[in-house]
Amino acid sequence: MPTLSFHQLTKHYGPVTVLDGFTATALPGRVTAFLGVNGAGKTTSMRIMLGLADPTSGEATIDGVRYADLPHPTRVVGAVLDQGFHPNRSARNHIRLTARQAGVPTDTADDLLHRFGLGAAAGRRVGGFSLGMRQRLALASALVGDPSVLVLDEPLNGLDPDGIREMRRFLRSFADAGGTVFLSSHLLSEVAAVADDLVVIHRGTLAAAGPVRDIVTDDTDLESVFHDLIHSTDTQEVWS
Amino acid sequence: MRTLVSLELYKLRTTPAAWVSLGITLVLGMASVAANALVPSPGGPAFGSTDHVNHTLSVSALTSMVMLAIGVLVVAGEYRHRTIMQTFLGEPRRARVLAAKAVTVLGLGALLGAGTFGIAYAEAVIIYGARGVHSLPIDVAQLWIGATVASALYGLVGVALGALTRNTVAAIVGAITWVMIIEVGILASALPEVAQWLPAGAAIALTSVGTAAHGMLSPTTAALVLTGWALLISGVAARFSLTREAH
Repeated sequence: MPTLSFHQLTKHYGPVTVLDGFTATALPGRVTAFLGVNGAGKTTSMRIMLGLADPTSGEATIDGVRYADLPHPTRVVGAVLDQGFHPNRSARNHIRLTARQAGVPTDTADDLLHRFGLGAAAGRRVGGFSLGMRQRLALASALVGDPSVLVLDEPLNGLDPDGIREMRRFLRSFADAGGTVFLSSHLLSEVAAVADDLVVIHRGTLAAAGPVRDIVTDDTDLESVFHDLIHSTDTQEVWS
Repeated sequence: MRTLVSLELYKLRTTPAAWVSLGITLVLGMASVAANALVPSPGGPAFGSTDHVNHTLSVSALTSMVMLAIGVLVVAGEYRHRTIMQTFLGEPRRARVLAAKAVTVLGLGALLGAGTFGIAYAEAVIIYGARGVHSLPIDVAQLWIGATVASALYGLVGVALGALTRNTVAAIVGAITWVMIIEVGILASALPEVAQWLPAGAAIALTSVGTAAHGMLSPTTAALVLTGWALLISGVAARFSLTREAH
């Protein structure tokens, strides 16, 4: 099962430095939460990992291979970013398109729609979907290629409490089956409930990384730890 | 590449834009043939003359502009709806994606241009035949090939403009403004010796016979000029669009 590695990742947009030597790892069989304030560099890191942006220097790899060099990338990595949907395309046609991209049978795609509670809405235009339905469709689409890695940017956004619980359960089972889950979220309490490891990025640099149980102790919570981390100029490394 | 082209066709098949464009092209094309053939224009060419039939069969302007719009939508539409990220996640080699879109639109443009001209020609044969003109005084093969080539190449130009602008409205409005106002409206009368070498001038030369083709480039030269423009604009689009990040 693949390991995600960010190695000395630097990204400049003109005079602005978004990533500054960011280095981190996400391991197989673990749910790794990727935390940071807005503008910290989370989305840029994920986009570089997925080949959607080029780093100024450094590299992001999946088991040592760049995403763009994977022969069938969507069969290795399933991604949920803020990619959109054509509003006039049905959910069924959207996920079948994703299946064709991955080179897998469209039956798989149809099964995933049912698994994520979208079977009854399969023929409806995605433009009429709620945010939660779009999130479920995005996740179902990410799984079409039966990937061993999930890269998810704010996957809990728009989900109702039941949806969040289902998502947590799903991510847990995916990681327990040996998969690598790397997700960003602003919902710290939800992250604390599902993540095994944390990677905290601040101003484009690693602020902290390690198992949740080593960073969040019995007498603290993730919110206060996160607040302290991003307001501290010290960088701590607790991941061995 | 075959898989990527089939994906592009699937995208077009599963959204209404291509079907609506096809329907509009066929309806307007057939209506314009009937109107141009049957509605007399004072001082215009005699019924059944080369110029009259050329006017009747002038559907390639329609198919070319429709293909230009489809070409724009195939690329810029993906940026508009942010589906381009899913496309690049499936095929990170962007040059291959752009090439597949170009091949798809070239093929569709050729089919639409040839098909629409074929229907227009059949309709014209019936209309003129009913009025006693049983042999149309035009080079059908030249017009048919011209309509096919012009529609395909305008589609390619649309893909390139879509890749350059990533904005459907700007690309379509910009292209129509250039073709209809700057080239046809201004340059064709003010500087005809220059206009004939521009994309619209070459397309008109490629798809016209009779008086409309007088003073224009020969069909072969016009085809080469239009191909040159399409390749030049595509090259510029590839140069500047492939390295820009997708959002």
